[in-house]
Amino acid sequence: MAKIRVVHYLNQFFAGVGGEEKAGTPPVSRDGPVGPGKAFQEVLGQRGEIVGTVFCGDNYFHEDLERTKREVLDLIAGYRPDVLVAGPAFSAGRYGLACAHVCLDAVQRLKIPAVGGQHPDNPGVGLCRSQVYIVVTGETTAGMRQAITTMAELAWKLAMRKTLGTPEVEGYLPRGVRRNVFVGEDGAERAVKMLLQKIRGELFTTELPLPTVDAVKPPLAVKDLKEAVVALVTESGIVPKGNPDHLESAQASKWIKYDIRGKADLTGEEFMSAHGGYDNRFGNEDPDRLVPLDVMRELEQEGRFKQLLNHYYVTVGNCTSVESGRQYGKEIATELLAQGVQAVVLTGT
Amino acid sequence: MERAGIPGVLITALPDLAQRVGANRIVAGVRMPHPVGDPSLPLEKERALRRRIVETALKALQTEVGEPTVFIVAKSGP
Amino acid sequence: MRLEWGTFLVKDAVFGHKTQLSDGVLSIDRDGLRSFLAQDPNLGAIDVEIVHPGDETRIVHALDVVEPRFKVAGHGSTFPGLLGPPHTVGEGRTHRLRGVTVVQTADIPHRLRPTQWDEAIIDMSGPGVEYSPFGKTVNVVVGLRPVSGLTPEEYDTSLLLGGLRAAEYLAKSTADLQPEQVETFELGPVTPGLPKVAYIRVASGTNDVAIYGAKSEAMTPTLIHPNEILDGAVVNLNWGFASERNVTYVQLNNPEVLALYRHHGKDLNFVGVVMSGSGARSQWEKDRNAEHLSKLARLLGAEAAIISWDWGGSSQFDLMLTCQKCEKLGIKTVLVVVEMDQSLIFSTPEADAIVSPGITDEVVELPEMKRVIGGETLYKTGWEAKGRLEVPVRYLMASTNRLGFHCLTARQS
Repeated sequence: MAKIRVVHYLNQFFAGVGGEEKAGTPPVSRDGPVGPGKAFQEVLGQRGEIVGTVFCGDNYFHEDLERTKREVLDLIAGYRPDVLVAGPAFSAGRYGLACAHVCLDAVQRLKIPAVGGQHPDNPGVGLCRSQVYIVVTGETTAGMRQAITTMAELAWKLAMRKTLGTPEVEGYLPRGVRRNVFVGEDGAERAVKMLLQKIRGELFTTELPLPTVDAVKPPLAVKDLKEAVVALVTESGIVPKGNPDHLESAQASKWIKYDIRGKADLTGEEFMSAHGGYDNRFGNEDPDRLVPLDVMRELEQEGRFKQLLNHYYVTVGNCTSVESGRQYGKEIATELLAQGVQAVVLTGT
Repeated sequence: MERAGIPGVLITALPDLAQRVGANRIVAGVRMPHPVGDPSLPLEKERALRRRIVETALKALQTEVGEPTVFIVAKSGP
Repeated sequence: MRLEWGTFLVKDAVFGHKTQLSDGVLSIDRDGLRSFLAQDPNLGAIDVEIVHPGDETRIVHALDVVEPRFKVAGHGSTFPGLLGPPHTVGEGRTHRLRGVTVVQTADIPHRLRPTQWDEAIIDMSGPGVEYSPFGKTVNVVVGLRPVSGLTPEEYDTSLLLGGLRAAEYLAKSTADLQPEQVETFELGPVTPGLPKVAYIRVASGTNDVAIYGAKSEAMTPTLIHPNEILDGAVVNLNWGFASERNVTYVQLNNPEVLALYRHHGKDLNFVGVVMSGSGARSQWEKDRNAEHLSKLARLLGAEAAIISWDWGGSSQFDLMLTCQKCEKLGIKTVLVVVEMDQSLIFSTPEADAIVSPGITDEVVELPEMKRVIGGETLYKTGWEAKGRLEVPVRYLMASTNRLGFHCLTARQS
């Protein structure tokens, strides 16, 4: 790659069209750099070229988000860029959000890297930081030159597929993504040194900061269970014998539902455990030990609840990421809601 | 699922873990390979135990909770 | 307890008429090794190959990696409880061949495989070499094929013993030789006042390790002298995710034990090892294990401890409970925690000092190889083993292993 091709996204103000009165301007493109893009071009020098600038009014952008995103993306794609830079938007909220949307589209649809420049409190940061490199800026344009220099260097490295330094060194906000790096000492030696620091009361830095718990407000209790449809959901990996849908024994890539209409219990002849994280013998012998269908049927017949849902839902929670779990839960919930389910009995291992 | 507003009850052998990761209605199950069963019991007793656990789960679903809460099954042991 | 490691540096290994070591070259009697392993009636065909660093060769279906060892003096045997009686080791002298390993592979039909088998790759050249520590050693690859009709337990035992026997066979050739280096391990007295540090090992998978030949499942936590670990009392039984696998080579060269020994008498006082069994399958059991582990550390007088764990999933709970209970007893802790899918499923605020041996899900690109040993296609994916591969680090043997044997870590980006 002799020279990288860069497209720059701006709002109407920085593109020099006008202030709030021009915020309704629809997306437009111009060949070459515009406004702050000229400073970008200076930093890039011979290494790259701002082949085009796309700008849009801040109000227009959000009026019909999906339409605008399409329009902007088409304009950007027309330049066949290697990388997109957007802003810097500092603490301007509408502009920051627009930059975030445009950057996300570039990453997800055009499969090119994107660099933004925003104040950490800008709402655009939360929207895109996991996939977009956001250079940290001040609240106002006072730090424009510095922001542009950092953004341009980062954009060049990304387009050239160079290995990046840490977020602190490169000047971007950590994306919440962790990457492997080789270091000079093995883990055990690092552990001893960290322990000695901790013992002596010295400053030490954990290599793995603790995650925060994703709390969910408890939903209200079921008012009248006798009138409720109840579903069985499980992460125990109980599947029909032979595991016909190839549910993974660990790091499951999916959830599956299986029909239990007319079944009074789950037998070892028909079902098995595909879970790789516990001793499956007991579950294979009697899958009811993991998905209590027999007892649920009994209670259904006694009228303790109205009806058991015709399917049970299953995945495997063995080393499956919290993110996947959240996703599967959301998808299963959509199905359950559509079927009028009012309560869920979930078994875990 | 709870975020979608459907109350759920989690039956697990690791109730404290479930509580600390934010499950709201939790029933203490038996062991990880068989949360709602106990192979060391004769069939009848095992089934009765399973019924007690599931009944506790149904009770949990009908109980208002303000925070992650563990419901203990009568006589569930290690 | 005083243990001597007599180390022989092996520069190369070749096939020859007799198994012997001379001038750093290990000559291996291929048929002799085969017939030695064939003493196990459950083993059918046995292949032996030698691969070298730099070869355009990929080993797949690797189960374990074993450092060749032979006990020449002192109580007990090589791999006690498995190749000899379960007698206490950790004293006397043990020979080890450095720079060469035994890698056992097995190509077993899917339906016969226990659930926890996972693909394990060792590349001898290309970027994979950086990830697996065994891309830089000369590897004697022992391909084992147990006879049909065995129970899963019989399969596992034959494959395990096959690797250990091969390792003993190779090192036994040095029985009458004088080692080039002798290292001594002894928890001698230190300057008073140095902080007392214990090493706690939380094992909690289905089958993590064998201690003196017994699966550690349901074992009450116990004290073990670090020399016992360095002398073969603990071997790997886990054939799950390759990158996290604490292969027997890593157990024999336990990095925490070696690091604490290096610091012993300098800036800390290494007081011993506490080890749990695996198989805690309920909160009650995990609670009980963690209570025992922290109590035993306290009985050792520990003021601080390094805590590592042997397997994933819910044993993170065992790890965190142990950390919490130790900290409550005033024992400061550092944990070694491998990262899966970028997040911990569970943590406790006391776990403020964690060492990360890396993240298992990052994808690496491995080039096509000229030769592949161990099998033709990868487990599960069915990909051609010889071809160019894009696989998660998880597939690369011991690259992010849970004892922190390797120089990998993960950082925010």
